[in-house]
Amino acid sequence: MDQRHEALGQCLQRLHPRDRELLLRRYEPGGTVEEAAKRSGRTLQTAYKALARLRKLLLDCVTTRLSQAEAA
Amino acid sequence: MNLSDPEILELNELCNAVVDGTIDEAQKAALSNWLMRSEEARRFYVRVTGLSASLCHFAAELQTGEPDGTAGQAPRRRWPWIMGLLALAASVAVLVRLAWPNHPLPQTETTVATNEIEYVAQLTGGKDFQWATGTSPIAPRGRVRKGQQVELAQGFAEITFDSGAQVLLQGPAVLDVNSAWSATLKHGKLTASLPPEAMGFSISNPTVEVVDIGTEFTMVADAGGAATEVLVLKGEVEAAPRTPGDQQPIVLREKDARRFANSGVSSVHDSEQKFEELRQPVGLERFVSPIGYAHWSFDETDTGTFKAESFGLPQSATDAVLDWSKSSPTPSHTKGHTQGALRFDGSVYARAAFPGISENSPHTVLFWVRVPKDANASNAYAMVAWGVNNKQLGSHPVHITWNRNASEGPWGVLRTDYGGGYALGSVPLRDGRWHHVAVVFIPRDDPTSPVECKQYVDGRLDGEGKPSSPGSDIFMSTSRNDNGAILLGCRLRIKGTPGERFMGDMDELFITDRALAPHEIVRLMNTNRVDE
Repeated sequence: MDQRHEALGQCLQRLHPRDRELLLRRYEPGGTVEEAAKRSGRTLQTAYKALARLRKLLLDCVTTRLSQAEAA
Repeated sequence: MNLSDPEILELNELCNAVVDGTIDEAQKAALSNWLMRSEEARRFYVRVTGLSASLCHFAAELQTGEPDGTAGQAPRRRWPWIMGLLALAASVAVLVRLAWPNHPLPQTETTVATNEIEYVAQLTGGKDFQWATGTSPIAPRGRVRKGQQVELAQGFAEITFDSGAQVLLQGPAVLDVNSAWSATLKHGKLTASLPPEAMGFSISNPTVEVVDIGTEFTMVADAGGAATEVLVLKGEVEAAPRTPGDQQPIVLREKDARRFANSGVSSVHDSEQKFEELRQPVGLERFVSPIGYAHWSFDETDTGTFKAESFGLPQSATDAVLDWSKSSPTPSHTKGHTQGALRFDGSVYARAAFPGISENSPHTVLFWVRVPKDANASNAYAMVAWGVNNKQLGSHPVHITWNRNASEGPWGVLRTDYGGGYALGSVPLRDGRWHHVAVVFIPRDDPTSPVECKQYVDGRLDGEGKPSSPGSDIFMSTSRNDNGAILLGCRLRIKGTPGERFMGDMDELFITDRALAPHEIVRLMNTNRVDE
């Protein structure tokens, strides 16, 4: 599980700062999509779409990194 | 079956709707259908929700500034540090395997003070049981501490973990109770019943780690710990072999059985006979005691007095009377979780009596609460409060509230302050939705920590009490006049004067005269009734 968390940290670092900010503002304690959208200068609809895309990106990235670590 | 790209996209959209809280009925039905028929879909769902839980942890780690009490004002952040902190956060151990929608993952060990004795389970049933010679016997309804080794010589003993997991141990057996979320079967046989609230509970030993995905399973470990059999009675589990050559987790479904040994994973001989034996009822005696309670439904719509119904209490609780005359023209009512609810607008509060609440006796406080998304820090204290006049607790009041001290924990989560300690959850309550809150208080025979406190949000364990720092603002005295009184929607100040006011809605308040077990909390949440 540590490996998964570490992989997530590495994958987050690879994101564009603007995307990373959107994600972290969404997931900070008490954070909402509305506020994350407003603060990152996106419309609500765009923010939802961006979050869906970013989660999928992170999921794939974490899976790939874990597979690589297992194969090594 | 392998998921196609379009199927993955569809699932991704459904899972995103879950984590964003935008899922509608049609999407729920579609997702349920996926989860029922496809193991891969279930795995995908667990990965997405697990990712969201991990992101919550990362984001909470990064949020170092305490938000001020201004509506809509963003918390202070230190973005220039983000890259360094990300690397640091990556090293924090967090269990990511499973998540419950909108809920945190099982707590990590770091959330609790290490030098404190922490109780995490309870002996809730038994049959012809005898503890091993030389070990401390556990009395019926006795608490089991974190790290305690339970050694059963013979018979059956049922242990209910504070996470809601129930383990029926069959002697001779040895079980290490690691936390509310995990145990180690050294040897012997157990059957684990794991409700949805306990999702993520794990049982391990040297050959295998079994993680619940909503199930009932049996585990049999031989005396040397060299081999373990896992038989799934209901639902499914993820079993990860711990042998050096083969560590790929295996999903076991209903009626599946596997033997995990140092030599590898194999089928279980005579598994049908073993399943048949497991289906035989044990005839367990459950150690339950009657529950006395008071209930305020807040369904009245034309008055400032809210009726209390009391059952099985030596003295009845009193109606809750609203104090609103100085600020608002009429009492505030709103549509509740069940019929009507009481609305606290940041100025009103109510007072009732629950005789005995001020003593250090076991009780559980349960209610539904809805906190606005834009609630200010000045409107956090308190949902429920009462004064305590007890030598051990030093007259410190109890406040059930949401956390506004970001240096002590995540902003907006459930918080309980009490004599000498506080408990913090991790589910944000400031989201404009109804949440079920339950706080359990259990007296302890320890003068330095005389009360145990457990919080549950929406039926899932969400924070245990830990000692507070000296000088914290919870160390305030209350007047003896407040003995036995509960205050709703305000903070108790010195001499008992109601201070700050809470903003939000409250419904279906129950106070019981004993500590409820996790399954009792869930039942009350689902039925709005106490088992009598």
